[in-house]
Amino acid sequence: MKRKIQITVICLLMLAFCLGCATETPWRKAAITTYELLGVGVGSTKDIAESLKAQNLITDEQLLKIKDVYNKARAVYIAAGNSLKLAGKAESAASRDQLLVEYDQLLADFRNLSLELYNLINSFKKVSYNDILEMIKNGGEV
Amino acid sequence: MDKFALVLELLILIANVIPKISPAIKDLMLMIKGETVADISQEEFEARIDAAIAKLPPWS
Repeated sequence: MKRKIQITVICLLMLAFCLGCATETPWRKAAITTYELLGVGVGSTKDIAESLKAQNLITDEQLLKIKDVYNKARAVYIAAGNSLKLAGKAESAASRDQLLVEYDQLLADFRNLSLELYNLINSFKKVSYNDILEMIKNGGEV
Repeated sequence: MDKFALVLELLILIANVIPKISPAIKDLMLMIKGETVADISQEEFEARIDAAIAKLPPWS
């Protein structure tokens, strides 16, 4: 089952990459697909962390650290979404490209915070990345 | 079967297994065939951004 999840995640990333790189892709479709896919993983970390706390597998202090990074990641994700909306409204290709550069930077920051979030959960609970994927699949239950 | 055809077969297989990403794979197939793929409207674009953000609720 773990292998199935790994393959699914890899395929989703491949698809996001293909759509993102294809020059003839309608850019709104390509951008929103990547944006949605990146948000999915972080969305489940809140449930996972709360579930770990409910089972006393992490401390209050550790939960606070996870919460802090989650809220930072959320703020960056919203900012990236706002940049994307503005890029959609841009009247010229030049201003749209400029906004998309800003969006790419925010998305890179979001990816870094996502990794920090996974690493925090992993280090606190001493679980593997595969275990985290399994928990996502089971809705937060270990 | 060359590698390219194998990747296409794999994408079709994934589209059948995960219905949610089927539209994206369908678009990719159309582009590979050289057909034009219509973009989404700004309204739908913004609605999908808002929906994605809503899936990350604030944690107080």
